[in-house]
Amino acid sequence: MSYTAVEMMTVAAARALSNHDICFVGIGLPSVACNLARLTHAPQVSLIYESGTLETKPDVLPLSIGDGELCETALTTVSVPEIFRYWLQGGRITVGFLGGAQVDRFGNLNTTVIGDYARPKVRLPGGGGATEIATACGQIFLIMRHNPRSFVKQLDFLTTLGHGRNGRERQELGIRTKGPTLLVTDLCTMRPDRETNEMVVASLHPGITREQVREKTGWEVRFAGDLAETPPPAAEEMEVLRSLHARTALAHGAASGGE
Amino acid sequence: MPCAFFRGYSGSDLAKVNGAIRSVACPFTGVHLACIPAIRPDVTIIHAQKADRDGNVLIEGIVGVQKEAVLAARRAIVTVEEVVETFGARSSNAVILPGWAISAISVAPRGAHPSYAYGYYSRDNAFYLAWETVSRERESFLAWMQEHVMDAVPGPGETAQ
Repeated sequence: MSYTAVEMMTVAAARALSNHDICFVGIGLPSVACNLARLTHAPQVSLIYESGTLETKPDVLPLSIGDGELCETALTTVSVPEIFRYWLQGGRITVGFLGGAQVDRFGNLNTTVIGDYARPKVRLPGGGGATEIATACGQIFLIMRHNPRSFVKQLDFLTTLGHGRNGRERQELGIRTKGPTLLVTDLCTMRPDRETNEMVVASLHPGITREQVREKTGWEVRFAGDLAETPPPAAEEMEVLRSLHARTALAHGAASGGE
Repeated sequence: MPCAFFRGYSGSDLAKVNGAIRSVACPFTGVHLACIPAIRPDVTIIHAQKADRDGNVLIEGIVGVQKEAVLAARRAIVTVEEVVETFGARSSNAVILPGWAISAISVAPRGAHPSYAYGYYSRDNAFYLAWETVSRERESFLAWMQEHVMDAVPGPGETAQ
């Protein structure tokens, strides 16, 4: 079965979740991956959106965290102060699934501005709850399209802490959660180096070369010694993913996209 | 409360550019916590499903920070889908704002449009998607505002309380 680079990325990201995970879901690419996991190998995964929907099972992808579908299919819906104070900050969430506009080699994210903060070239949507999600969840999975404008040597602004600008900032700040343990792109998967926490290519998607990854990464990207090939999407994964997008497009009256 | 504190903004540049993000040490554990000032609006306006004849308001669905926003403000205006005699059977933990916590109620059927009102109507997704184009340019934004806000005629409704 043929597939696009974005479909490969989504499938690879979905596989990282298990039935035991309690996952705080970002809107966009993370939301597609999390629901694909729930509809395939991880039917018991608990998905939580920051609007307060606990254990939600949407039939179609939400356009925003406030979609009625998330509330209708949730086990229960709590207020926003409750979801952040007690469920997130209480350490109940095992995985935070996030995206961003820019990422650096230590998995730090920028979702605030491109350019200078006071005189930005582009004002981005902002961090939302990501700064708290990144430190309170047990670990963080990141999903982003791979291109040099997004995978940068130096972030314009550090909105959300990954492993910090030196790779060791979490320990220095006394944060005990793991931070980014996985970064999935449309070219490869990356995991932090055990010593330095630098995100290193762990597997290349089928047909992707090291050179392609180097070209699209703004820092001198490194590859794991035991570099693997990401298993291609299985027929079932593709069928479920495409039917999820088709249902969503029908419900929203437009293409659901992956963004 | 004059402020809220929580574990937040660790390692983020946000605290460097926003003077409202400060920190405090927990007096019991010494843990470093982020601290932000309370927002005290002069007035909060929210939309809810139902008001009863006594002016109490029932909110259902994704309740977000609506209750908090009402209680933080000096005055609160609530627009509702409808007025009912009583709320009828409901959970003991339903989100209800007593009439004495609300300054005024206005009946505004479909008042959440283009968003949805949980239990009443769904979101106008086409409207949302079109907004992306409308909001890109000042001119298209102003033309939209003129048609949908400035020149818009109020729908059928009534004011209670």
